[in-house]
Amino acid sequence: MSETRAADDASVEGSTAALASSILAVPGVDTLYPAASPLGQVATAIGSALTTGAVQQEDVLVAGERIRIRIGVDGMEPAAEVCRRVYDVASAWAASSGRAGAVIDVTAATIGA
Amino acid sequence: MTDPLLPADELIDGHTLDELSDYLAAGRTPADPAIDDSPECRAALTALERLGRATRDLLDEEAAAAPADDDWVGRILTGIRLDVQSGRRIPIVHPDPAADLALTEGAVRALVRSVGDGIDGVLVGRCRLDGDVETPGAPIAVHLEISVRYGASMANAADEVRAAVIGELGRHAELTIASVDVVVTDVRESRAGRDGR
Repeated sequence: MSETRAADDASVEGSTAALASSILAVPGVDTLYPAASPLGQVATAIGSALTTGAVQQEDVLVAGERIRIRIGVDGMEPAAEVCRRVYDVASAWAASSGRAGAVIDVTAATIGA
Repeated sequence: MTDPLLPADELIDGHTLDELSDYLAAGRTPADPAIDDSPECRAALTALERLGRATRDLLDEEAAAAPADDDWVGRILTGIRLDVQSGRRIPIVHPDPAADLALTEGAVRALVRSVGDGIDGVLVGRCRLDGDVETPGAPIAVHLEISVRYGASMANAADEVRAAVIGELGRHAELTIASVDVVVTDVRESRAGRDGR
């Protein structure tokens, strides 16, 4: 991996970490689940272990023109409305990080669990 | 009897119900991210916690050390295993075409289970959503199997469950609920009650 590519990846990681924090601050969001599929999580874990020696888990998946977010909602706020609020936050983040127009997938995987 | 809907390996995101039950019994320590980060496992843990409380309440009422007839427990455990699977995506309408928002079917089934379990004396065995949940506005029929505590009115329990489920689904999900069918499949009879006849 080139130094430039590594720096870009680190920048994206830092940026998605900020997005993850913003999502967790949305009223009604209880949990942020790892967004990758189980196979994707394994691949990510192996990849990060090989490159950095540490296993890192992405809470928000940014892949090409798609941003994937999986949340648990607290059950107090209406789940559908919470998903829309998370979309607003992610959409603003996408616009500010040069990803305007990306498809943003927000899935509520638990409600009050 | 093998349930045709049950996954062949009977696993919940890679874990058996026994493993999840042991994890719960250990106070969820040491923390296992493979369980804590899985929505299916979290929903199963929540349902197991409620089942554990209901079982303890039943034993307290009987003031007995041995468990009562536990067939209903097995049916509920089977239901939990089935219902927490993530299932289909239930879309949430948004005017922006870049927004792909959804609830998982598993999340909605777990919500219905939680609502039913919240009614005094009721435990949900199975929950099923029939209809094209992936198409906004399509009519959906909710089917619920419940057990009720001996002595409780089955009709009242079913009515309360039906009303509560319609209310919570209306609040959280954007489904067009055509019907909520509630079937009482078990009466959790106390041993004292059985021995008295």
